[in-house]
Amino acid sequence: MSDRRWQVCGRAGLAWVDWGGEVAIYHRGSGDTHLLDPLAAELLRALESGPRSDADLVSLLSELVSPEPERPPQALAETILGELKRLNIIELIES
Amino acid sequence: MNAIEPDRLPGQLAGSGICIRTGPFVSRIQSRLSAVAAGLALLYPDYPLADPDGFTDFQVRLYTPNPLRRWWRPQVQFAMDGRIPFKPLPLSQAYPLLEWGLNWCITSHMHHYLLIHSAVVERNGLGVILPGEPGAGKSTLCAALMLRGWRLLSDEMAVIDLDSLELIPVVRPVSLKNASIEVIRRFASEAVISPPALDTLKGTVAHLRVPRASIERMDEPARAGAIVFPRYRSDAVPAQAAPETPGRTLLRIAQNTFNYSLLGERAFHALTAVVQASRCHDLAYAELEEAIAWFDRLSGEADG
Amino acid sequence: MAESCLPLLVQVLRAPATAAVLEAPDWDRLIRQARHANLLGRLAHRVADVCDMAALPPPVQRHLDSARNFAAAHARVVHWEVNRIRRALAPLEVPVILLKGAAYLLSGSPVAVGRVFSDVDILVPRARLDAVEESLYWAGWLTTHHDAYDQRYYRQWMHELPPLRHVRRKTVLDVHHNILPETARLHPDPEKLIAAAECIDAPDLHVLSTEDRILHSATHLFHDGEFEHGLRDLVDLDGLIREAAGAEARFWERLPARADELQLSRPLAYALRYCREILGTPVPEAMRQWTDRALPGRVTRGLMDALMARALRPPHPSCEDAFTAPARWLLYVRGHALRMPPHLLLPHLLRKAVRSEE
Repeated sequence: MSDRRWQVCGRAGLAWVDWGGEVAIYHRGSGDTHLLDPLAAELLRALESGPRSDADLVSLLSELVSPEPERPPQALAETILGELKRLNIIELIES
Repeated sequence: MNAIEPDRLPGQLAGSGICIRTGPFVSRIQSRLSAVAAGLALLYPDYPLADPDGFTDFQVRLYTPNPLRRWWRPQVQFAMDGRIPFKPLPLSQAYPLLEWGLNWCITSHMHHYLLIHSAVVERNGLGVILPGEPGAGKSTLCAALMLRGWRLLSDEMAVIDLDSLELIPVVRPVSLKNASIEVIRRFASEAVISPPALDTLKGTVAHLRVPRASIERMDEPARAGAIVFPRYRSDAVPAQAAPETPGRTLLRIAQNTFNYSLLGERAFHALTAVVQASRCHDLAYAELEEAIAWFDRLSGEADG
Repeated sequence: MAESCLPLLVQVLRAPATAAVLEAPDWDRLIRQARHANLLGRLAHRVADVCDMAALPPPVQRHLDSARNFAAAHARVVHWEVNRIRRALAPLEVPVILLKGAAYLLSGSPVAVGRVFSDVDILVPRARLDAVEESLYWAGWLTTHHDAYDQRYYRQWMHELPPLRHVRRKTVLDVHHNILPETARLHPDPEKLIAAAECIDAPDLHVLSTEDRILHSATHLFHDGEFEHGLRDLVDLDGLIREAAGAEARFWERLPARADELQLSRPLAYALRYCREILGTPVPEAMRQWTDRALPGRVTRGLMDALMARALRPPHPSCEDAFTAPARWLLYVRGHALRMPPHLLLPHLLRKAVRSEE
């Protein structure tokens, strides 16, 4: 999985409103509004500045949360990225 | 509308129509139907008329589409400038159809504003948005607040200026459905309510006249200071208020905004700003009096 | 056609600066005509380009502003649809050629400003049609016509698949393999159109060449039965012609040559005739001879003039007379007759008539 690369869908970018515990984003491409938790928002902010690999995102996540044995950062990243993909906010870069 | 004598109203409606101003919008209404004339005479006597030769925002006509059906299941059709947005309804629903049609005119053509499906009231400078989530009973609560001295801005839609973020009044009669017609009659015996139309798509529907004080202030915008999601719940004694987060308020209101996706990013920024400036609450209530007391405290807080 | 007889909408589109002096009743009529003609967004932008919007009556500002917001929303939807279509088709490495509104928008043409549309039209090589349809299917675009007759009608006779609708976004996509039906009297060669297409965003996104865009628009308007948007389409043509004539030195040589090559001289000749008459499009005198040759004889021409004078007015009661409805009906039948030979047309129209009664 570690050679997958992710990007934000479309070229129009995102608008952000940060309320601390929750972050609202507007995806300019799709016109959809979403509410994200702070961790998902951090991953998305990283992707907003350019495409990232799974490995980049997992290491970013490891810095943000203290490791839990039952929830390794890889699994957490997988969950968050899967959800962002389902919402058409991010997508895999086809190689 | 006092400018027209009641017995001349039907003739004028049947001719070139009358131009009624509700907030920023002028609607030219034409109809030969007696129910339309009677409804307007009952509910709009305090409204200003606009210059019939001036600019009109909406040109609406209600008529019987098929004269052959005059006796057998007669129908009523709504048209805006010759275009027909809805299927005809039974003639007994002519007056509600006029009000629904006028709502449609605004929500389909006025994307200069952010248009939220909600009631809006104001007191002591505090504008309150009551979003119309299904089952919220916003109209009942809005009617009750209005009859207890709150100023009505709108029963059906919050009209928000995208630049100033002000709430623009579009004061029109309050639509009451089913049990709430009787509830409001009992709540305020002085309330003026149009004859109920039965078996509409929304059940039984009647319209409540707006007090003159709200009509006289229809050119005075308000600022949103609270967003309240009301819910009638028979076991909510006493009334229970719970704060709602700004993020969830944003999503819930966005779902009730007619032109949210149409206005795109501007809607996102306008709504987040309105949410930011507002206290956001869920309010469950069983007794109107308790809900009103809660709102009165809310507006009292705004004073000091 | 004397200018003073032109509908108010056409007068203001020709000379937007005159909007500054309109009185309230004029605005009342103008906005209604523009709305019915699906040109309110275009009008709003034209007026905003040359007038001080803040000096217009506030209610007028609101309607014009609303129309601009409405058009901007459609543009945003189309940008996103094109993004999704490209992603769905990327693995096929097939050129995606945008047609009509999407082409005007993505190529940055001034014609797209304020134009309202949300269906996307693309042209792909016929040989890749099955693969394109399958890739779109897996990305959520499903066919809208489930009736076996309709499916066969489209696939056998038409120049496009039955319209596809995206299952979640509800947007409509028309996939063409030509710009006219197989059965039509005119037979432009789609390979020539594809070969001349211009890339607007590498590697896969294309639009037809400048001349072909104009020819396609002219063909659509003057070879089709739908005049509901007749004036809107004529305004498109006017804009496309003005844009191209200003940008390309040899445009007025290349355009008629290309029309002859693609067998589309007649629709182009109609386009030039009515653009010039109604919208004052600058067409050089040198084109007159070519146009005369390409147009039909005097009788047919006279009839078309009478029909077009009505079909190309705003479809608003203030612009109509007793002959408007028959004129539109005749043009509808003519459009179908040009698309299909009679032995196919009559059964088809009958079927449509019977079903619209249902």
